[in-house]
Amino acid sequence: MMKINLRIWMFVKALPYVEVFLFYVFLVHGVFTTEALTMYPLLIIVTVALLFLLKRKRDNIDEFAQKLLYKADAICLKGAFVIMLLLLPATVVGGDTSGFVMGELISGAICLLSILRAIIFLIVDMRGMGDE
Amino acid sequence: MSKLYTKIKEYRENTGVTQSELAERVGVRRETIVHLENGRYNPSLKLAMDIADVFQVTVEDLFVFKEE
Repeated sequence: MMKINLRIWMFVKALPYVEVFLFYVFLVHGVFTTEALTMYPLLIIVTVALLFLLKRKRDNIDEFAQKLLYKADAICLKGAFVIMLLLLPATVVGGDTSGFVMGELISGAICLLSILRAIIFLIVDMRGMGDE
Repeated sequence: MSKLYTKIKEYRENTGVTQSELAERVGVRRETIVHLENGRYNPSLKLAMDIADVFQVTVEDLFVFKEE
C-alpha cells in the first residue's frame, strides 16, 4: 500500500494552521461574504477530519524521524520565544495596537512556526544528523 | 575521537536485499537506512540488533568504532 512520505506529511499537517490564519485575516479585513463566513470554518473542520483519516496512511514515525521531530520542536520552541519577545514591544510602541492586529500577528506566528517545523524536518531529514 | 562505521551496505548488497526491503523488515523508513549506511545517523541498540538479526550476524560485525 502506498504510504504518504513523512516530509510531505509535515507540510500537509501545517495546512489547518495556514487556513486559520487566512480565516482570521479575511475576517478582520471583511473579505468574507455571509456564505463564505459559514463555509470557511467548515473547510477547516473538513481539513482536520481528512488529516485524521490520512494519518493511518502516512509513513510510520521511526526512531530517526522521532529524533528529527524533537529537534524541529526544540528549534521551533526557541523561535516561539523570539516571536513572543518581538510581539511584546508591538503592544507598547504602537501605543494603541488593536486586538485585531495582535490576533493577526499571533495567528501569523503560529502559521509561520508550523511551516518552519515542516521545513526544519525536511532539511534535517535530507542531510541526516551526523554524530549526535 | 572515535567514529562509528557500519557495514550495512556491504552485507545488504551481498545478500541482495534492497534498502526498502531492509527498512520494512526492521520497521523503519527507507531514509533511515540511507542515513545509517552513509554514517549520518547512529542507531539505537534495538535497531542495530534488529538489523544484525536480519543478516544473521552480531552487532559488532555490523558496526565498528574507528579512531579518527
